[in-house]
Amino acid sequence: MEPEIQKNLPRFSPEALEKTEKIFKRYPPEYREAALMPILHLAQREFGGWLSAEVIEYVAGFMNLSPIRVYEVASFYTMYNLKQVGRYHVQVCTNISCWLCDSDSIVKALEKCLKISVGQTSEDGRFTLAEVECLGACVNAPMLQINDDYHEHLTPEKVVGIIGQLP
Amino acid sequence: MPTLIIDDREITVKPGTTIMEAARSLGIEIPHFCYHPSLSIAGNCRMCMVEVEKMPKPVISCAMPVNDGMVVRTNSEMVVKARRGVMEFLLINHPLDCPVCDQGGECKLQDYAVKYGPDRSRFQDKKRTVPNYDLGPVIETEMNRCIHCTRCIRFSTEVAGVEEMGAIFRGDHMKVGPCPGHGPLTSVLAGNLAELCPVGALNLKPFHFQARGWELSKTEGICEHCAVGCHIRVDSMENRIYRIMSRQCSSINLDWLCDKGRFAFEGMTEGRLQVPMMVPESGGPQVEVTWNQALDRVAALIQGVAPEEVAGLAGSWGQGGEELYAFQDFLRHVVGTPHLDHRLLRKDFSPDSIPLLRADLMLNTPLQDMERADAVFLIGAGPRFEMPLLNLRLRKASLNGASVWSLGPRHLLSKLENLEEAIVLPGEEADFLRKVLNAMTTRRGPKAAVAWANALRKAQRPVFLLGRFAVNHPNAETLRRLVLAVLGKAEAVEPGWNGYNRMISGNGAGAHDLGVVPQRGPGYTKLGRRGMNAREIFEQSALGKIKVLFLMGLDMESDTVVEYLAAAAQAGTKIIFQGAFHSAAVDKVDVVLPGLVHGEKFSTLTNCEGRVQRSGRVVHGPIMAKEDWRILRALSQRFPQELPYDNLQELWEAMGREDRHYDPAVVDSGEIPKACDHGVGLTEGLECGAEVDAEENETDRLVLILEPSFYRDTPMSRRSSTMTKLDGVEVLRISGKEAKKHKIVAGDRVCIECNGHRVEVRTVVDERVKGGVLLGTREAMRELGGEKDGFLQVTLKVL
Ligand code: SF4
Ligand code: SF4
Ligand code: FES
Ligand code: FES
Repeated sequence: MEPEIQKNLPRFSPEALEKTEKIFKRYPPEYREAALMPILHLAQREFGGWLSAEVIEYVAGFMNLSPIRVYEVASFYTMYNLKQVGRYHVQVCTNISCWLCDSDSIVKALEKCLKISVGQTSEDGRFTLAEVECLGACVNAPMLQINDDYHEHLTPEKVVGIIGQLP
Repeated sequence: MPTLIIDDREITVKPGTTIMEAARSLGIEIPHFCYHPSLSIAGNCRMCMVEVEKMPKPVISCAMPVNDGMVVRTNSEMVVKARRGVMEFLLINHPLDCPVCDQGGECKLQDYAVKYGPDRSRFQDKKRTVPNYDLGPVIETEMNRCIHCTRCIRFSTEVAGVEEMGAIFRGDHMKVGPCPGHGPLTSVLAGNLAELCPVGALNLKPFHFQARGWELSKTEGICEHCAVGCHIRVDSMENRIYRIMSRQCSSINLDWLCDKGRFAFEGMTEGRLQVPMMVPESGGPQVEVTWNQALDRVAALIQGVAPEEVAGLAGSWGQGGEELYAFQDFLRHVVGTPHLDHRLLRKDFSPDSIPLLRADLMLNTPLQDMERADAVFLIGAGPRFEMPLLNLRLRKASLNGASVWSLGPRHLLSKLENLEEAIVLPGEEADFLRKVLNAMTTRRGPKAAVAWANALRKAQRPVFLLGRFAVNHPNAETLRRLVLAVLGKAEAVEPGWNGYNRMISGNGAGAHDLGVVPQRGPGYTKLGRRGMNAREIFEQSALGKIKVLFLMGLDMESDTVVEYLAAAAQAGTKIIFQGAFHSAAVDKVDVVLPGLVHGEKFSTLTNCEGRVQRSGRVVHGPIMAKEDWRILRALSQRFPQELPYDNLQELWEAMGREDRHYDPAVVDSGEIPKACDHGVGLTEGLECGAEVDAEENETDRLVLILEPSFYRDTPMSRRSSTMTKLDGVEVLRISGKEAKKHKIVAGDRVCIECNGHRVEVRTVVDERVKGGVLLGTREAMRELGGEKDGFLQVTLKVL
């Protein structure tokens, strides 16, 4: 009936903690919970590119919110990953502009060269392939994003090259 | 004040009222799913659309405030069409489950589909499916049926204060449910989710597939499980209760019930005493006998000793006013003994010599008004688990900005905001209050005490709540008087506001009113002679001075009771037990008279505010068991003086003559009686009681505080399977400091010893427990024997 013993949850590193301080400063103190989105983003970076249940619980405790409130936010936005992603998170835009410029062929090329289909992670844990909505780079469609980097003006051949060059 | 016209009827309402509320006050029902009178407005189901003249589109009535001169139509062509559209959308993903859905027959979606929906679906694609969740023993889920009204989310967040449900993902992927990795719902109010859910997505698990709503007969009743006295509706069929639902009562329970009130009834058929039993003259184990034999024996036992050598003890839980009144009448006037009591766990009987009045013993701030409190002071009280529905009122007050101050041996899991806790060693509470009292005038003292005093000085509507721990404290009366003294110093208090409140358990209020105490007769009449109190009765029977002990409805599994009874039996005291539940201790008594429980008989229950409410019979008990007051009545026939009532009506009238609150004309009038209608005020002009030494705080001293487990504190709830499932693992809470000293790591099993008894239990390190204090549940530590005078001093060993 009463809460049990605290679990062993992950913790922010001292550097990350410093960053959270900066984030909190951006919001008025009475709206502290407004910092939840950037903090989740930070947490995602800190803890391996995705938000596990433990991370969500930790962030909830950190923000003094209940876990469900954090989970609601984390699940609402597709840019928070709720499943483990590979070292390279390959996100192909298939929204209208990219689609008109044949993003389908890009997806096909990726699926062939990574040997996984959309939504999957390769067995060695290097790649996760995802379809995403417009990333705001329509002028240079079709495009994709690998971790933090955009790659634009794509062709199926270019894509294979980009993947091949990844360390 | 805006005046508007709804369906050609004019109404004037307060500004800010919504169209929905205005229509409801006219008795016009606007179909709705997400609107709930006790929850915030969400406006997301769109079912409540109405047409407002001069507005181009239909508007949602639940969220639209009224305007002067508005002309609203709730059934125009536009509205009908809009409703049909909403229904079609809602039904797109809704499974065709009605035949196998628990909600069938009492489902809003089903009703509205029939009334307003299209007669066929145009949806050709696949319906979406949503996984179900395990939300614990109370709630069964079938999330495909969810229509996303968010009532359950709003209830958990706003009312219960336990944020457990949420809306996850978005758009057409939105699901309503808990966080992954969640445990069972812990709000003690989980059952309300099923009642709230307009469809069959959240159902009561114990009721799952048990019956259909329309087969059940519905009886109105009053909950007996704590002194809030919630209004309930008991649904039964073929002599079995299937479920208990809440009945709206704005001054008591609003629309809610706690999980104990909802499911403890499951225990009512378990382990019941079926037939009269007694130990034969020749000794040996009990044998079945007829009622006549049993009653003759009881009469013989009582008549075989002097009246003064007979004493009676009644339980406060589960006893209706009927048997309580008959019990004292029987002992006082038929047997002729003054020794009777119901306060079994009490340690401080010193106020008996004054003695206290009704207002001293109960709430003086009506539950409804507690919401308006601006400072709440909890003295040894854990309202969330003592009276869950009272806690909801305090929670509302705290959400409205009231500060909450708690004094006691432990942290509270109270779901109250702005809570400041003064955690002191048991025995030091009076000392703290004295400092507060001092700070009220001098404005000096320890920081915490000054903070209390400052809050109280400003408070216009303060609420002081003496909880179970304070009432059963060895210095209870000192604490009580200190509270009065402190309150007396509060100057800003609104005229007419009384902030002195003392919590009461079970039907303790009824027992006080009807005179099941040695110092007062029914209706608080003065007595020529004061009898022995519960403690003295127990002690004297252990010494053999009380030769016959008549027990009615005691919790025969309570550690204190069991221990005292064993001692009494040793001393040769004859014990008669009248009650409903079997236990090991019942096997050892001389005569067993099987009685009935709440729901099988008429019982008059008095709540913590002193409201007297009557609850009727729903099912029949074991064939041979008898209504408790009738047993006493039949027994009295074997004495020269009989109890002077032959039927319930006469008994009720007798009760009404003793105490005006019990006047059948009032109780059965159908009106909810007035709260806190205590007549003469508090007993005033009392000294604050002698200075009690805070007990020496030696380094090795460890005090064990036993708390009853919320879900298993009465014989009936203990036997309920849902309550048993809800009751968490039994653990011992210990502070970090103490854990370090004893080299305990969380999760270690330890052995506690006290007066030669020992128990083993797993520990949880809880930083909010005070050093020197251990917290355990009474049920888990039964073997330690109960507390008698002071607190339990224990020693601790790691295993
Ligand atoms: S589960 Fe029931 S109460 Fe909760 S959102 Fe769904 S339909 Fe509404
Ligand atoms: S709060 Fe008390 S009276 Fe109300 S349902 Fe729960 S146990 Fe019954
Ligand atoms: S549609 Fe692909 S980036 Fe905008
Ligand atoms: S009841 Fe008004 S929108 Fe749901």
